[in-house]
This record gives sequence, structure tokens and C-alpha cells, in this order.
Amino acid sequence: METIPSFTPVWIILTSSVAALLVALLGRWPNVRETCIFAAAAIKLGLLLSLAPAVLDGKLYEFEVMELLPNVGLAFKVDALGLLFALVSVSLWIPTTIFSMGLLRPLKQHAQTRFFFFFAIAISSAVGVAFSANLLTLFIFYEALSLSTYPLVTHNQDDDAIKGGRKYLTYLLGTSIALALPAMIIVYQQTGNLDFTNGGVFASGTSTTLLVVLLVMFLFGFAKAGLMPFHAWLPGAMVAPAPVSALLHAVAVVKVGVFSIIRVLTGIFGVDLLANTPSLSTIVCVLAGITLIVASLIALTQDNIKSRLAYSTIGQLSYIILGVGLATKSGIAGAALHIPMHAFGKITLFLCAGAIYQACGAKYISEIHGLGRKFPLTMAAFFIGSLCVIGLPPTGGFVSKWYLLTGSLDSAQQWAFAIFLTSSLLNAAYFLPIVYKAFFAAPTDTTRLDKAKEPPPLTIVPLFITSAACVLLFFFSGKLFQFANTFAEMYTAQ
Amino acid sequence: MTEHLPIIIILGPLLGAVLAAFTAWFRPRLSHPLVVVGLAISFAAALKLVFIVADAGAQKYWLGGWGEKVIPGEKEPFVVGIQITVDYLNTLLLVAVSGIALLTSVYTRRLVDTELTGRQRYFYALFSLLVTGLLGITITGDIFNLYVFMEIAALSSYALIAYGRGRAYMAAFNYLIMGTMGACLYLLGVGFVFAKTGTLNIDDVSAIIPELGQSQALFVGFVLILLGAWAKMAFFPFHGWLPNAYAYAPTASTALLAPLATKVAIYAMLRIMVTVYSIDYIIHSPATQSLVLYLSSLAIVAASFFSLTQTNLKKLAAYFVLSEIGYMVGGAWLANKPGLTGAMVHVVADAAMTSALFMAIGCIVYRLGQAQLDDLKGVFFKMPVTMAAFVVTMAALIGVPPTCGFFSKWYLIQGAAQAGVWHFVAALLLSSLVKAIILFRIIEIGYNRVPHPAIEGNPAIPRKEAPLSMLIPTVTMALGLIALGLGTSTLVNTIISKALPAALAP
Repeated sequence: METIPSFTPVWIILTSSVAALLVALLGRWPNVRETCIFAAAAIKLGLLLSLAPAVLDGKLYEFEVMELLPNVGLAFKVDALGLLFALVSVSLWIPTTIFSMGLLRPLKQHAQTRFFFFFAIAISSAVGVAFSANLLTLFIFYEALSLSTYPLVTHNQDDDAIKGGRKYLTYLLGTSIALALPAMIIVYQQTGNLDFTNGGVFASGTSTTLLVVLLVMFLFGFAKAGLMPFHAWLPGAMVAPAPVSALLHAVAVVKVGVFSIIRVLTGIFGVDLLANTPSLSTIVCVLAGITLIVASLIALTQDNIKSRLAYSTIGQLSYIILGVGLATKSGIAGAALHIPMHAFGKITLFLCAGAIYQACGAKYISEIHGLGRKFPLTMAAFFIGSLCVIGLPPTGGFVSKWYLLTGSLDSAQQWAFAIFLTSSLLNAAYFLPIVYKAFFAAPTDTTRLDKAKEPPPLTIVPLFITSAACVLLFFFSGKLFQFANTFAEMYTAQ
Repeated sequence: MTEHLPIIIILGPLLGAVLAAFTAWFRPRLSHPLVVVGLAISFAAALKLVFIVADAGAQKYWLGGWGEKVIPGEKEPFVVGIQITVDYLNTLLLVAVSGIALLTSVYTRRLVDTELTGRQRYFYALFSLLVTGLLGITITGDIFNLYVFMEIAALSSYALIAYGRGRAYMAAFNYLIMGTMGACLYLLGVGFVFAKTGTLNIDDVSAIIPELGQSQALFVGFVLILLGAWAKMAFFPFHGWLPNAYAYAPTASTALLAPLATKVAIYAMLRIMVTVYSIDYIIHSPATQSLVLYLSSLAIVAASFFSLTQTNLKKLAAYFVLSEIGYMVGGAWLANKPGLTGAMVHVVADAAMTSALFMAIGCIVYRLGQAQLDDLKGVFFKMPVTMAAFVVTMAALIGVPPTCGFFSKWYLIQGAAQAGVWHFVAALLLSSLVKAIILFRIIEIGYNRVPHPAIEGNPAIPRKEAPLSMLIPTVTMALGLIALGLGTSTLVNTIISKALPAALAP
């Protein structure tokens, strides 16, 4: 593998931190403040794209800032998966910021500067996770992300927000300190190495019991991935304002969780070890499979729109984990591809939920009967978003699920095929009724409908951008698949 | 000049103390600057010595030039003087003690004026004398001399605690009983060592002990010395005196005592374990080792549990100190490379963290007048800079990377995993979690439990930070925690790894 030493990854991470500082300093002038964010996002996106050609060629950008422990440094490495994830997070940062402006400004929300400040820090941390070259660096940014998103979750500062925030930290900080950290130290103590290496770091002959224990500690330790039973923080975090739920709790934070798990499975354990040790692969697949089905079933019962979306997210995250657990090339490619596909679909849904709430104050599905007639465009965007999450053409979700299904057939865990299909049916069962009721059911509360105002363009435009992207991703999925495939090939071919 | 640097480290604060006591008679305002100058000289000398030691190895200094004399008829030279030594084991701690003392002396000025109005006359003389004692314990190369400095430090700290009046008298008295018992045990142990080896010089003792082979008397001496050190450092179950002493002492006294006094006692334990006796003593008595490790875990768990129940910020922080002591004793007694490295890194890191913590608490006390958790409502709006420093410090105590607390804890856990002492791993993690809970409890009270002042119609909370002379040291310490964390690797490579006994398994 050819590596290119480059400081660019560090610049990319720092861009949004600098933006955060400017946001804090220029808080008094909202227009200037938001301009900084857009500029930072644009610069970041440009720099990321400039790395793409070489990365797709199978090369790696590397940079070590300093040594932190013997043989382990604060080091960055850009590969196809990291670049893909960073691209998704940063490109979605732009519509989310537009949406935030549309949502927060008319309400004269308090602490907008704080909101944008921590948002930028969170993006920096997410990209830091994406570019981490070893587990320690990843852990540092993982924790930074937990801490920087806490003020966003508790943004409303009422009792619900405090409760949600408490749950958020208990789960995320608790599991990472109590499970992921000791697991990481044990790996370091056993192997003296925390770098993500093709083929894993463990010497052959490491006891399977130890591997199983470590695997379980990592799977649950990165609770951002929402594996049951450590998933309850995500519905709790839905007290946050809509943009936070949209970008962080559909994309950045939760995907950082699965991303960390992918890194551990492919770079620490190694795909071969996973494939050749049935117990390891089975544990991943069974835990993810259970979460997949149970989360979808719970989602069916939720009347609160955002809760239903949150449980749907928990299920979809497990698609990705299950895909990697299959330890086949197409499974891993499908899992990697599902990161952007689900991200675009789910962010559209969350933004729609936010727009609906802003327009008429509806939080529950039972309150939005007939709303589609009043806001056809918003609900159409919702429809496209749900198609993408269910995995139906012509949306991007179809492509990633296709590869996941092929991956399950290639692997030893063929039962996963049935799990994927069942879950997709369940996805349809909890999303399509919302769309149906919004368009065709008789309004339950006509006064609410009459009072509803069209949301301002700043909240509507982002919906169109992301839902259009869902469709475009179907037709232009080849480019994204290149990223996923480069990554999968790098880690499966020996 | 540079050969006299070791003694300058002690002379700075000692002369500062004497001059401060003297000027306190006729010009009390002069005491404080004198002490600050003395500490600054000491700090500069300690800092210079780090580089000398890193380059050229241990520096030995014979007090008054009374070194080794060759007695007619004896083959070996005979030690007649007191030696002071700066080597890989203590050089970092010397910088930490003198540096923290210097910052604290600047920091406490305003606190002393408000808390001890009319009684501040001798405060800085005692302050400087305490620092002299602590630096002396750290730098001395003689086990009896160590006892002398221990008493100097102890006597001045009793007085500094009793400055608090009221319940502080009782707390100081408790400390006095416990401290005196500890000193007695230590001295008794030194007696055993002297009886067997005929010398008090650390280099000589460590050369003679292996020649004596298995000796019951030496082992008893070892245990007595360690018991003494444990009583001084408030290791479980000798910890009863500490929470009250630190909570009821004036905030200015606690700001100096809490970070330094216990850490120096831990250093004394490390010195005894690593250089006076050899680490084999621990490796070859597995029953004692496992008992101490259990005690360490128990210390951490119990202190964490009690810290959860506290309603007073100072007392809560005192329980943090107790749990951190468990970290270091446990790490040292793991008696393997990462464990000892962790203990040594943590001595320095914890001195800095505790100092930053009590400085932040002092700022809060200065403005709010008290430190009950319920009084903290809105404190994040009132003192944002102080609270930012507080949050960074708590993050370091929890062990959030890249602060120094993370890396020392990393080594400790690695050592425990290597030795297979899982209860110690669990205790360390539990303590982190408890500290995280407390941090966010404070954030909830201080930030979220008030109507946000930026929302229209809510009462405004005016910003009122502590004075700059307090705020700047606090922020410096907090930023220092991050710098120390990023520099851990360098410190371990250049200094701490060389302080480890060579015989140790990797």
C-alpha cells in the first residue's frame, strides 16, 4: 500500500475548529457567524475532494502529529472509508446549517452562538474519528464528540433536556470508559500496537476466549452505534433541536459509533480472523441481528415521530454492523455504502419532522393526519426519505441493501439474508403509514391545520437538497461504490 | 554555580520563610513578596536541574562539603555528611512541588486577605516553611533527614489547617495525632534499618541491604516505614483525618496542602520501595502485595462512593484526593513496569490536577463565599472562565484524553492488566465513572438549573470572575494539564523510564 505523508488531514480537521472559534468571537453578528460556517464547510469539502483521486487509487494519506505512548501516536490516516464518512458528514453540515438558521432565528432562540460553536466542534471531532490511524486517536475524538454534543442535546435547558442529557452521557461516557477503554488497553498490553492494520493486530494463537471478551467489550463500548441493550440514549437524545437530531443523531454521532466498530473489526481483529473464527463473526451478527429486528418492532409502536425515527436509526445502524460481521467483501462494501445512503435518507426524515414541528407544532404521528394536503412538498420529501431508508428504488438505500444482501449470501451466516428482508418489510411497515395518513387520512385536528403556516424557505430548501440527493445517489451510486469497494478490497485481499 | 543548584531548591523557600517571619513583626506587607521570590528561585533551580539530570544523570550534593571520609584502617570510605540527591525519580516532582507552590503563593494572596483578615501575619512564613519541608522530603538522600523534613512539613501544616478556626481545630488535632503516629512509625522503621546497616545514607543502605540477605528485622523496618508513609498520605484505612482537615482548613491552606502533601508522602513510599529497599521485596512477598492491592482498590471504591454523597465542594474534592492515593499506591505495588510508570507519572499529574481543582474551587469560594453544591446555581454564567478551567480539570481527573489524567491512568490500567489484577482495573474505571457523574451533576446545577439569562424575561446573571491574581494561576494550571498530557510520552521516555529499577520485567 502506497502512503503519502501529508498535513492536509490535520487541516481538514482543524478547519471546523477554527470556524468554531470564529463563531464564538463573531457571535454578535449572526450573518457573519453563519458565513464563517459556510466558508469552513466549503473549504473542508474542497480539501476532502482533493484527497479523493489518490485515495480511490488505493493510496493512503498519513500524518503523525506526536507520540503519545510508546508505538502509539496522535496519528491520522485517510483511507476510502474515512474519506467517505468525512465527505458525508461535511456535505450534510451545509444543509443542516441552513436549516438551523431557518429554525432558530425566527424563534429568537437563546444561545445560538453556543449552538453553532459546539456544532462545529462536533463536526471536527467526527472527521477526527474518520481520519484516525489508530485506536487511541479514534478514542480521543470519540470522547471529544460525546462531550461536545452534550450542550447540543441539552440545548433547550428544560427538565426533559436535562434528563435526556443525563441519559446521553451516562450511556456514552459510561460504556466508553467502562468497556472500550479497558478493551483498548488490554489490546495494547497484549500486542503493543493499536494501529488499524490490514489483517488485524493479534498474533495467531491468541486465545479465542480473550478475543470474544474483547469483541463484546468493543461492540458495547462504542455505544454510539446503538447496539441493544445500550441504545436507550438515542431516543432520549431526541429532546435536542431538530438540526441536532438530524445531523448528529442520524449521521455524525451514530455513524461514528458504527465507524469505530468497523475500524475495530477490520483493523484490530482483521477480516480474516473474523471469517475464520466462527464464534466471533456469529457474535457480531447475532447481536446486530437482534437489534435490527427488535428496534424495528419497537419503532412500529412509537407515536412520537422523532422516537420512531430514532428506533429506525438504531435498526439501520445494525445493518452496517451486521454487514461487516459477515466478513465478506460485498458485505463490507455494502456496510460502507450504507453509511452515506442511510445518512441522506434519515437526515431528510429528521429535517421534515423538524419542519412539520415548526409549521404546526405536531410531534406525534396521530397529529399529522391530512397534513400532506397542506404541505405536499414537505411530505413528498418525507416519502422519498423513507423510501431511501426502506431501501426501495429509485433511491440510494436500494443500492447499499443490495450489496448487503449479496454479502449475506456469500457468507457463512446466510440467515442474515432473511433478517435483512424481514427488517426491510418492517421498515416499510413503520414509515409508509405515516405518508399514507399525511396524504389520505381525514384530519383529526382541523384547527391545527388551519393555523399551520408554511415554514420559511430556509427550512424547506435543505429538505429538497437532501431528498434530491437520495434520488441522485441511486443513479450515481457508482462513485460512492468505488469508495466502499476500495475499502473492502483493501481489507479483504491479503 | 550549577553544582549548588540542589541546595538552592531548599534554601529559597527556607530563607523566604525566615525572612517572612522576621518582616512580619514590623512590615507584614513585605512577607508575601519575599516568599514569592524565594519560591521563584527554587522553581528556577528545579527546572534547570531537570535538564541537567536528563542529560547527565543523577546529581549528588554533600551539605556543607561534609562528604565521604576515609577512616584510617577502614577500606570503604565512611559517610559523615548529609547528602541530597536529584535523580530521575524526584526531579520532576521537585519541579511540580516548587512550581505549584509558586503559583499557589501568587494565587492565595487575595484569598488570605479575605478569609483570614487581620490574622494573615504569619501565614506566608508557614506557607514557605511547609514548602521547604516538602521539597526537603523530596530531595534528601538520607532517610533520617527525610524524617526531619517530614516533621517540618507536618508542623507547619497543622498550623495552616488550624488557621481555619472552629471545626478546623478539631480537624487539625486529628491530623496531628495521625501524623505524629505516622512519623513515629517511620522513625521506628528507620531505627531498624540503621541497626542492621549502620548507615542512613540512601545510596549506602541500598548497597548494603542486598548483602544482608533475608532479614526479619529489615522486613519489619520496611513495613514500619511504609505504615508511617501511609498514615502521612492518608491511605485507606488511615484516611480518617484528611476530609475534615482539607474541608475546614482555610481555602488558601488547602490549595497548597491538598496537591502537595499527600503526593510527597507517596514519593517517599516510592523512594523506599524502589531505591532504599529493592522492588524484589514486594515481588517476593506476594501475600503482602495482594493485600495492599486489595486495600488500594478498596480505597478507590470507598472514596468514590463517599464522594458521591458529599454536598460540599471542598469535601468532595478531598475524597477525590483519597481515591487518587489509592491509584498511586496500587500502581506502585503492581511492581511491574507500566504500573510503576503509571504511579510515577500520576504523582506529578495528580499534583497538577489537584492543584487546579482546588484553585478553581478557591475562585468559586472567593466569589460565592461558600462551596455547597446547591449554591452553585448559575455559577457557569457568573464565572465562565473559572468554570471552564474547572471542567478541564475534572476531565483530567476523569481521564479524558488528551489530558494528563488519561495517560497516567492508561499506564496504571495497563500494569494491572499485565499483572492480572482485575479488581484494580475495575476500581480505576469505577472511580472515573463516579467523577464523571459528579462533573455532570455540577454542570446540571451550575448551568441548567437556572433560567437561561439570554432568554428574554429571565433575570440576568452578571459576570463576576475572581480577581486576575487568582484567575490566571487557575487557568495556567488547567492548561498545564493538557500540556502535561501531551508531554507525557516525552517525560516517560527521557526521565521516568530511567527511574524504574533495572531488574524489572518489561
